[in-house]
Amino acid sequence: MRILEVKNLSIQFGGLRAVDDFNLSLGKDELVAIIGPNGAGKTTIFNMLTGIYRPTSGSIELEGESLVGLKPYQFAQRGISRTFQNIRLFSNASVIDNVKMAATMHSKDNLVSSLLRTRTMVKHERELDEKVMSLLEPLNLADKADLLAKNLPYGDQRRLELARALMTDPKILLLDEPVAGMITTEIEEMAELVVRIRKDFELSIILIEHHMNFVMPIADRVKVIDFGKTISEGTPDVVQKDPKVIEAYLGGGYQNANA
Amino acid sequence: MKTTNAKTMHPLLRKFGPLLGCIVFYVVIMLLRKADIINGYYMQVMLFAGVNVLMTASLNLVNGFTGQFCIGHAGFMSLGAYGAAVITTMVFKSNSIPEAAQIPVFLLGLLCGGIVAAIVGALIGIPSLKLKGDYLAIVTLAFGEIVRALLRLIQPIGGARGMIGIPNYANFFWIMLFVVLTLWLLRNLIYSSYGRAFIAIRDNEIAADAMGINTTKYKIMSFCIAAFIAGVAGGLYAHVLSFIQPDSFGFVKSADYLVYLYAGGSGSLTGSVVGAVLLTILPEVLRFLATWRLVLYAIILIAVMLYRSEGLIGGKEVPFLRIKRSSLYEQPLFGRKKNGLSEE
Ligand SMILES: Nc1ncnc2c1ncn2[C@@H]1O[C@H](COP(=O)(O)OP(=O)(O)OP(=O)(O)O)[C@@H](O)[C@H]1O
Ligand SMILES: [Mg+2]
Repeated sequence: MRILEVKNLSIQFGGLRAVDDFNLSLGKDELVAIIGPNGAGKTTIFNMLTGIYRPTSGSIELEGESLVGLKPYQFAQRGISRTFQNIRLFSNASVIDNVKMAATMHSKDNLVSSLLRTRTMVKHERELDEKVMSLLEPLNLADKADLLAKNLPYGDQRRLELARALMTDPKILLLDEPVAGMITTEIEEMAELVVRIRKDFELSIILIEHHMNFVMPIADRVKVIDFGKTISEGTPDVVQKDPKVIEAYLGGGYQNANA
Repeated sequence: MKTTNAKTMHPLLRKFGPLLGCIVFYVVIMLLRKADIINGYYMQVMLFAGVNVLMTASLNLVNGFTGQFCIGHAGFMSLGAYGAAVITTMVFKSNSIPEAAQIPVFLLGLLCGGIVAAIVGALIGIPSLKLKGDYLAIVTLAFGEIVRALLRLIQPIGGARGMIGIPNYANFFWIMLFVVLTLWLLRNLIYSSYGRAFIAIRDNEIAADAMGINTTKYKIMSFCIAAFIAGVAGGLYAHVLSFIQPDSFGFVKSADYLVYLYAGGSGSLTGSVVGAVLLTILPEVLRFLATWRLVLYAIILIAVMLYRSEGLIGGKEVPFLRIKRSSLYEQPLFGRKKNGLSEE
């Protein structure tokens, strides 16, 4: 069974049709990449898949349940989590608190037990703390747990966003340009990390990225968007050779342009 | 310095030190009062300082921790003041309350004052916090003035002249009890999933939403809790002064609390205590300067904001008002309950 079915998703901003008839049928554990030039509408697709924008038309179904019209937090509670292209951390909170904040919806403590800080509440807090630390460990963030998020170097901030998204316990993870602004070695690390997360957490992933050499080896399928329209899709090999893609996006050989 | 102390301190001392400190502080103040070193006037200033700590700390929950902007906090204070005073003075006729029933009636009054403020908080918070943006500021500004105008019109509670003859139940003991209790509860709240949700909303509302936090619900919750505390503080205020009138809770009062909050340091409970206490006492200390005192007060404030724009305390907390992560892993002090933490 497909976990996510997106049909004819479109959104209109004034005269601009930023996304036009986007379709996606995402399988369980599948990794689909969305590529396309700047302003193509990739982030807008994510914003619709997380409830930040309400599509003008089209449907989003997660395991058979329609999500259109729900609030962003409800998308997250049903299992769609994301990272942001322009990092959006809780900058004045510590690294560990950033991740704990993403567990708010799973909290078992009510207002009274929190106000009184009961034994059970402390026990839950400790369990959460241990869980978050075990998540930070493989991301190389454990020894920075008590630093403020805003004081982290850029690469750490990207990985923290990933940890935070995982903490919501998602079924589908949306990664918006996870290696933007990273150097080559960091990009390779991130590719390994995404592959490992996908396996360990049994996640379906949708990934937006400009770096071809990042996307191509890890994606099962690629969708190419230009001016809001899907112009090509298929396995990485097929898409790379599609003349429409080369013309619209790759401009005569991505390897030279993005190596 | 303080943090290293807290680390090496005996857990027993660290847990009960603050409580012990409070008791010692209380006893010392009472002795000084007995010896008349603290006269009645100084005492009243201290009581107002306590009320102002409650007001500032609750405002901090909304403005400092949840990142919303309430600028009519005195409105909730007036609702609580009138609510409590109506209970103790009109429903129960203060001079005919038997001695033994005075305290329960007083506490009932405070509770009612808090509840009235919280309900009104929900009524204005729900519509304005559902919207994104700074609607809360405008709505609370209007709310403060509307409450004042309405209270002036209601004759049975004295209209514009106000209410007199409110019993002065709120002595140093009660004020201090409520301050300590409130700070303890607020600290617990901030170091819980609720507090983290508030801070997440403050730091990045879009991300908080995307991480499954029902931002509207938590904003309303924070706002109503703050309104409740402000209501209780208003009730205490009424029972310190014995006299309240609508015009004491105008915009100027709300602005005072904003000044206490930002001068002390928003987002820090310690800052609220320091800001409220210092700035309540400062004008009294400067009283010998007669009319010049307000000028100097303003200059001091400007200096603080220029040289410490994050407030006097700026994001720090004294050990009692913060909870370190490591304390989650401590064994309980008393082994009587063998479930919970002492397992494994
Ligand atoms: N809220 C909005 N109102 C109006 N126009 C918008 C809005 N959001 C996005 N757009 C427009 O929609 C188009 C697609 O933007 P989008 O951010 O999705 O591009 P993108 O593919 O993510 O590009 P990039 O690679 O630069 O991140 C752009 O022309 C953008 O200006
Ligand atoms: Mg984008």
